[in-house]
Amino acid sequence: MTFRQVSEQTCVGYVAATVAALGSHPYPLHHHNPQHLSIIVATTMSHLLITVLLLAIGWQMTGVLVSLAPAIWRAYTRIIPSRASADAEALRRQQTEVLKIRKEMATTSSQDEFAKWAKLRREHDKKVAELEKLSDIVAAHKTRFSQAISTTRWLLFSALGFFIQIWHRKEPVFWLPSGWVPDYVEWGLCFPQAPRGSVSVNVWSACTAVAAGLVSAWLKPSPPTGNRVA
Amino acid sequence: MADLDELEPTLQNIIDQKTLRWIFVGGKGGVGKTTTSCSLAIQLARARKSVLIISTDPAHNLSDAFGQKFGKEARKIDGFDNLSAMEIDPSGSMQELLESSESGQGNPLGGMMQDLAFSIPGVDEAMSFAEVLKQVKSMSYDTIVFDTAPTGHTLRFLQFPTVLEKALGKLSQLSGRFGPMLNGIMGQGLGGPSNVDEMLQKMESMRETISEVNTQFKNPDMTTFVCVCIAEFLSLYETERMIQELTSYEIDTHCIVVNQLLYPKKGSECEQCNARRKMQKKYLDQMTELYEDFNVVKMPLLTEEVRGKEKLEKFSEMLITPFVPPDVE
Repeated sequence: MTFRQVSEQTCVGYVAATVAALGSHPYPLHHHNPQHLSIIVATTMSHLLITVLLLAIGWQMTGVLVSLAPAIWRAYTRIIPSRASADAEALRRQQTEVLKIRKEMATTSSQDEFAKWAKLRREHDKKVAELEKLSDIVAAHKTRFSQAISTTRWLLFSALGFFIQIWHRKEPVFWLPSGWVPDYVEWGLCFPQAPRGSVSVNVWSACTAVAAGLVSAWLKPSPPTGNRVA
Repeated sequence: MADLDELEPTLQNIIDQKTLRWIFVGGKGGVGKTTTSCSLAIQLARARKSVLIISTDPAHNLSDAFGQKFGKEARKIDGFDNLSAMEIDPSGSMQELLESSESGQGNPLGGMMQDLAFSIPGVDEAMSFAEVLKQVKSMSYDTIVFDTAPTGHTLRFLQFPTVLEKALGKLSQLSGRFGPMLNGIMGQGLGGPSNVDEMLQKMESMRETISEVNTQFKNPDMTTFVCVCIAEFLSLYETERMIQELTSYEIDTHCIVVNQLLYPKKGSECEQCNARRKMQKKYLDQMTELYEDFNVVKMPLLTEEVRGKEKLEKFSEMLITPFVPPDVE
């Protein structure tokens, strides 16, 4: 079995456990906390539960954005006026011009109209040199743009997720009915610092991340398998 | 009148421009480069104190043109008292350099030089060229005419100074840092202690020569390039390419010599001549249109080979006084 398979199976176990826990009772008869606190904790808990889940789903959904960055870039340069848009527009115009000159060169006989042909070629060479400079500039813009998308995505989902995991590390996301799982599993589910008998935000994050990943992988069209004939 | 816009169809402007020190004559093989450069040198010799003509073409034609043997040393051409010629083999002197460094047993730099010669294409030619330039500079010629090798080689030569200057600049910078260390290592075990220093000094002086020559080449007051071609498509094509490249190296060029033009007499029944004349006229018209800011010199095809002092002198007149074709169609 590959590492991926193993990790998927373990995670499926985790997910099953959490889903079962969710379905059974969101605010169970907990054995550790006093009743009067449970209302306050319950509000935070449900927030935490939903937020972490949303973060995991959001991370997966925005993954599409990264792969679509070139398309978004194209749309961005066409719609939103900026320095980058102006450069991209100039590049497009330059490309059209070069193509136009190439076409004209192809229809001009270099033997019969050498002067015209040579002048076209001079223009062509000049334009191509400019084009190369421009395309370097635009490529830099483009790289910065996709980096901005990735960074924003990371800040919005991953970094926030980490922050929540650290900030709420001592809080339970929800409680497990006592006796549902063996002792050592309980210890694992509250890892590292949540009270015994609860599911910690860290474990919950890991589970939601894996679950969202699996669902998105399942939704995505599977890539062709097997050896393709070259 | 359109003719007023055209520049004079002669090379008189080169003769008149007394500041010119380097004149390159180049073009495809077989278009009459050597004849043109010799003729130009003859005309220059009448206006300057001393003129040197150098052939860098491996197929040395100067000896053929003047019917006199020339070598690596500048030698007076018979019948002229201020015109000398020399023929250099661009790949030859590097070979010597390599061999000489090899003979010094156990010299690690000999191997290094060899690696260098093979790792950078054309560097051997460049270095020997630099060597020649150094020699020439120390000689007191007013003007030096280069009869260059066919197109590709010429351009590579002219490109060298920039490339080599950069490379050597880097090298001498490095040597400033690591030179003493290298000396320490090599001085003990291998070769003599002065080897590294000597080598670096040689390179440094070469770099200086090259950078000086480079600035001179890029100065239109001191250097110009005369393009030689014939009125045929490929030759014209190469010329256009060459002019564009020269422009990119910032080397001035404003003269084109068109050789081997046919002017059949009126009513001539030579079928080939008339057909050729028609084709040449087509390309000449194209050239007039394309190179309006050039001096385009038209030279006729003669019935005999242009060899020897007298014939060259006669031919050279036509570079200055435009050839007027007899009654043509």
